[in-house]
Amino acid sequence: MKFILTYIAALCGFMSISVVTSGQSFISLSSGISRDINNTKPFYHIPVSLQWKPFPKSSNPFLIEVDYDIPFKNNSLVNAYTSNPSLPQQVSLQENIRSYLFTVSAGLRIYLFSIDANNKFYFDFLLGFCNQKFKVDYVNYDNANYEVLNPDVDSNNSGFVLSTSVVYNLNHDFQIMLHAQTPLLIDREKYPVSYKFAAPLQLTFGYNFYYNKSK
Amino acid sequence: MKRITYFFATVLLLLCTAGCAKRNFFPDTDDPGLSRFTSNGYNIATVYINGDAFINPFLGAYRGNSLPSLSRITTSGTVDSLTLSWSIVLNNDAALPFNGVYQNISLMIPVDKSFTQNDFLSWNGKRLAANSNSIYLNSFNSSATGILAGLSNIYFVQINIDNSKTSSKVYQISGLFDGNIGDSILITKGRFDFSIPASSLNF
Repeated sequence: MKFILTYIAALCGFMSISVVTSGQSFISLSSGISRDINNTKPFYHIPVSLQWKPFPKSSNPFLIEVDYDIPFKNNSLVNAYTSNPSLPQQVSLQENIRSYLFTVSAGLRIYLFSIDANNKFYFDFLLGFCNQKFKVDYVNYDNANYEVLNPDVDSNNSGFVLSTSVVYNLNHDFQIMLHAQTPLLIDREKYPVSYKFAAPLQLTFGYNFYYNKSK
Repeated sequence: MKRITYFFATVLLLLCTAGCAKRNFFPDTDDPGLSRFTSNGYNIATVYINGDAFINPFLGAYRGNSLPSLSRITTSGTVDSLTLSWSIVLNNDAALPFNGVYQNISLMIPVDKSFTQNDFLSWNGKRLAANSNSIYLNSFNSSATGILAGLSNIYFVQINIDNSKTSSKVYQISGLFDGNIGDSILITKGRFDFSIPASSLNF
C-alpha cells in the first residue's frame, strides 16, 4: 500500500511539472512477445496493447493503456500416485498452466530525447488494475485411480499493478515499446500453488493513429 | 474505566486472533467431500467409506483439526504393529462434532520388534506390500457396533522431517490408502497429510 501511495505521489509530481510530449492525440495498437519475470519457469504471452493519449496538448502527458496477454501453455511434469496394487505406484503427467492477463492502466508519457523530428524516445509511468486468471489441466490424468500430490488449481485474482515502458517512436508513425509490469500487489490465496502472479516484460511493435493535432 | 475496558477488549481480540487454528480443508473437485492430496502438514485426512466422505473432525479454533496417533504396539508374536489412527466424522457440514456410523480409523502395519524412527523415514516413497496391512474401523451404531477389521493398501508417498515450524523434530507424512472390510465395507481414495512431533512417538 505504501508503495502504491509513493507511486501516486510520484505521478502527481510528474503531473505538476511541464512535460513535453507529442502535440497530438493518438491511439496506438501494438503486439509482440512477453516473458514473465516473476516465475522461475516463466509464462510466455502474446501481448496486445492499446494506448490512448486523449489530450492533444504537449503539456498534458496523461495516457491510458489496455493490455491483454494471450498465453502460451506452460508445461511441466508432475507425478501422480496410487495405493492400488494392480497399478504402477507412480506415473508422470504433463501439467499445463495458462495465465490470462488483462490490465487497464493510467499514467503519464514523459518525453526523454529525440534522434530527429520523427524519431523520439518516451518513458511511460502507469498505475493499473489487473486481472490474472490461471487455468491448470493435467494431460491424460486418470483421476479415478491416481492422485497428484499438492495439485495446482485454477485461480482468478485482481489487484493493482505498476508498470513502466520505454517507447521509441520510429518514423513518427511506428512504435517499439519495452514494457515491464509488477505482479499483483496483493497476497496470494492460502492454498500454495507452484506458480506466482505473473510480471510480464513485453516487447511490442505497433502503429500510432494520430488525430486532433494541437495548435 | 473506559480505558480498562478498551485494554481488555484489545487483549481479548489479540488472544482470539493469535490462537486461531485453521481447518485447512481444500476440497478436491474431482472427489467431492475429500481434501486435495497435500504434503503441507495440514493434519487433514479424508476417505470414502462405502461412498460417503469422512474427515478427521475440527475441534474448534483453539485446538484445530483432530490429530492422529502414530505408535508401535508391542505384541507377544514375532512382529509388532505400527498403528496410525485418527478420529473420523462424516464430511457433510453437520453441526454435531461427532456423527456418522464410524468414529475412528486405524491402519496397522506389521513391523520388526527393532523398528525405529529411521526405519519409518526409510518408508518415504514406499508402497507397502498389497493387503499386508490391517485396517480397523471403530463403529458404535445400531447396525454395526464394535471394531471392524479388514485389509488395506498403504502408500507413504512422502515422509519428511520438518524443522521449519518448531525447533523440535516433526515428521510430515503424506500418503494414500484403501481397503475393505469383508465385501460389505469399501474404503476408497483415502489420503492423509499429517504433522507428527517425533517426541510423541514411542519407537
